[in-house]
Amino acid sequence: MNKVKKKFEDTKRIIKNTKEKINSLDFDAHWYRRVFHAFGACFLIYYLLPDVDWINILKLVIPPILVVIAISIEILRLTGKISSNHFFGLRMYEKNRVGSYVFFAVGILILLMLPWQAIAIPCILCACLGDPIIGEIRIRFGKSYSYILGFLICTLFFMVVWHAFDSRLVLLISVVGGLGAIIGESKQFWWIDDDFMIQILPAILLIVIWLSASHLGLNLPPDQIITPAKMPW
Amino acid sequence: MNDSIEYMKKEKSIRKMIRTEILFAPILIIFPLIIGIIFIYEWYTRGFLTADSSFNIDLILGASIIIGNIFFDVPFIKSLIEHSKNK
Repeated sequence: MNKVKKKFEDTKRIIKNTKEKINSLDFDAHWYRRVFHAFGACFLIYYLLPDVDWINILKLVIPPILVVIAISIEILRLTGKISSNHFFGLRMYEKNRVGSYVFFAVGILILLMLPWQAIAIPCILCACLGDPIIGEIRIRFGKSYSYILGFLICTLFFMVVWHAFDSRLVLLISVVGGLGAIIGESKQFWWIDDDFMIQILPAILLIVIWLSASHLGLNLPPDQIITPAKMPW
Repeated sequence: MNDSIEYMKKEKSIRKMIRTEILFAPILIIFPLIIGIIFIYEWYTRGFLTADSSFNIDLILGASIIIGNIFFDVPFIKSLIEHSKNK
């Protein structure tokens, strides 16, 4: 009888430890995804790279190669050639769907290839910093607060990047960009991720404004707002 | 925890996944700080010292990258420390 009781106690302890382990992993994966998002802002260094022929060629070649590698890895995962267990922080709904990191990478690649830095930079900031902040607000304060505060945060990103230009344009761009980002973030589709939509939807809206700005009598900023660094040698 | 925020996990692969996370952690934490400092350095040398306000965007981006990353790095590092204590 004592043996059975001991065995029961041991099993109970093992289950408790396993539960704790899994819970701690959930927490880790959560912050890991957040840090991964924020890390994406590093890609803005692209604009600071020196304007030298060989670097310009690398700028054209390396980002698409990285995205192709990410897509290839994802194809291998979805076809079962690589186990999903190797992908830390993957969500349940991403098991049989393209992982959000691929959408994130494709979105950033499209934006980096755009000729207008003033459009690309705030959209990248929305995806890299705005999205995880909105996610945290949603968890802590609920959906409606996340939409309101998320809109304000994304609007702020557009405002700080455009602050030096035509004030009417700053107001228009900030509100439209902020709205685009929050709609892109809140709309849930199975086939396309919010990590893509939060950066591409505002970019599309801003391109429309950019192309029609001359008809509206607004002064556009230059295509390039970050001056490339000089070669250190 | 609903399906949208549930992460894929299997007990046997926990150790492997945690190892991946720990392996990437220094890059995820240090690299953004370096990039942020480069942006601020560019602003300082080409904007601040020459009183050229067109480089203010470099300062804004550098500060955003550093603050944004530290904001998430702190709980991430805390969770890692917590996890290694639990192990």
